[in-house]
Amino acid sequence: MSRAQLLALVDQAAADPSSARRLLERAQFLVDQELRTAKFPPDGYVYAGAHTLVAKFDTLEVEDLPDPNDPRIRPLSQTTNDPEEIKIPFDMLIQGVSAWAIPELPTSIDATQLRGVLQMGVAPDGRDLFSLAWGLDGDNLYCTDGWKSHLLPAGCMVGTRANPRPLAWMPGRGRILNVWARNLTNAICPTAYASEIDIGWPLSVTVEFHGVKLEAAR
Amino acid sequence: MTGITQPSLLEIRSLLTQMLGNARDQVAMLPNLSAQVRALPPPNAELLSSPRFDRAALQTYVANFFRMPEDLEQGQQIRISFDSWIRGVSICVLPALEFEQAPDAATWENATALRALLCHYGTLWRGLVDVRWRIEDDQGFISDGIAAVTAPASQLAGDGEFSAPLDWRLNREQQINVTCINRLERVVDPECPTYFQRTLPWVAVAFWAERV
Repeated sequence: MSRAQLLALVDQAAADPSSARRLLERAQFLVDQELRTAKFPPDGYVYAGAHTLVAKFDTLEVEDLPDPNDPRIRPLSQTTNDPEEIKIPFDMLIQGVSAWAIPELPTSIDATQLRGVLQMGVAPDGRDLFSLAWGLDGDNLYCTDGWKSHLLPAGCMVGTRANPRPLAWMPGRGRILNVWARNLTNAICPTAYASEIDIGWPLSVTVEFHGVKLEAAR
Repeated sequence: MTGITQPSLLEIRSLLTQMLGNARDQVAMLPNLSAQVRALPPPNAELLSSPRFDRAALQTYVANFFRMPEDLEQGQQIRISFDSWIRGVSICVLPALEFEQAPDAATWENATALRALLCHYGTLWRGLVDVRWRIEDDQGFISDGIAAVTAPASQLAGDGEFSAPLDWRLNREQQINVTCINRLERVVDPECPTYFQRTLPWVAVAFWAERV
């Protein structure tokens, strides 16, 4: 139902008073239905302004690939990178998350290599080139198999700016949102031949949490 | 009626109740009702007034399959850490390229183009694997009606931009068993020189959940 539908019913009732009762009952039904199902702000709050919280990884380098013979090297779902921190500036309702990655290429790369590298990112916004996880106040157990935390390929963890992955999450003011990321370019393009080109390439990654500020209702 | 704030809607509800209770008001108060409806927030206020979920879809339970050989069924267990409501499932497959010698321009072109084409069978290469899942011993979530079967992940799961809806209320310590099979040979003949690694480096199955 939309405001236009409601307005149409009211206009019809004005044009035809003999059917006003039936039309108003219909309008009341629609309003009742909306009141039952609409998502309103949490008690005591009103929504006030859209905000975007951003975690930037300027140069996300590749990490060693896992080796079955060397258990010290972490699996692809783990990282040695430190998390980026976002301090939540005010009470917020985070409604979605998106991310974006672009290769940071050395100037010496030739056109063939450049073309190959740029074609490796197939998912929109290069989300298949890296993995992600997030947590609050250092606790990254929001992405877990039940035993330990994991990163997940960003392609299935986040959406694009046009279509962010929906979240509905209310971290309080002052809490720290940690974001972990790992470069996967060397996992999807390993090179068994003598390394005439670098294995994997650094990425610039940006993760955006989109939300609205919550203000206390007067 | 997205984008309508509760107080205004309640006022309209109250006005409608009053009008329906008195036949004379039904016509006399129509201009007032019309003005109130017109004063409601426009639909483009949806972002600010209507979150798509009313609860946190934050917790993610994952099953990771690394280095998956072709046509070999593998299983993983997920232990539920909190009482959870599983809301959806997404899958991402990462196929890798493999070159025996430094690729020339044409080789790069062919290999990357073919890799991208495989997304036609499901975004994030979901068409390259078959999956099924069960909750502890409870089979039948993916079946032919008689026995559990595996089905293409592109039909059972979403990706990061959407997730295939599920609705399971699970208690802490319950387990989800996920089975996955690499079906690369379904679309790429092993004899075909495509520069694909036949082993999939990573298949991630992510269940989106809310802590209850």
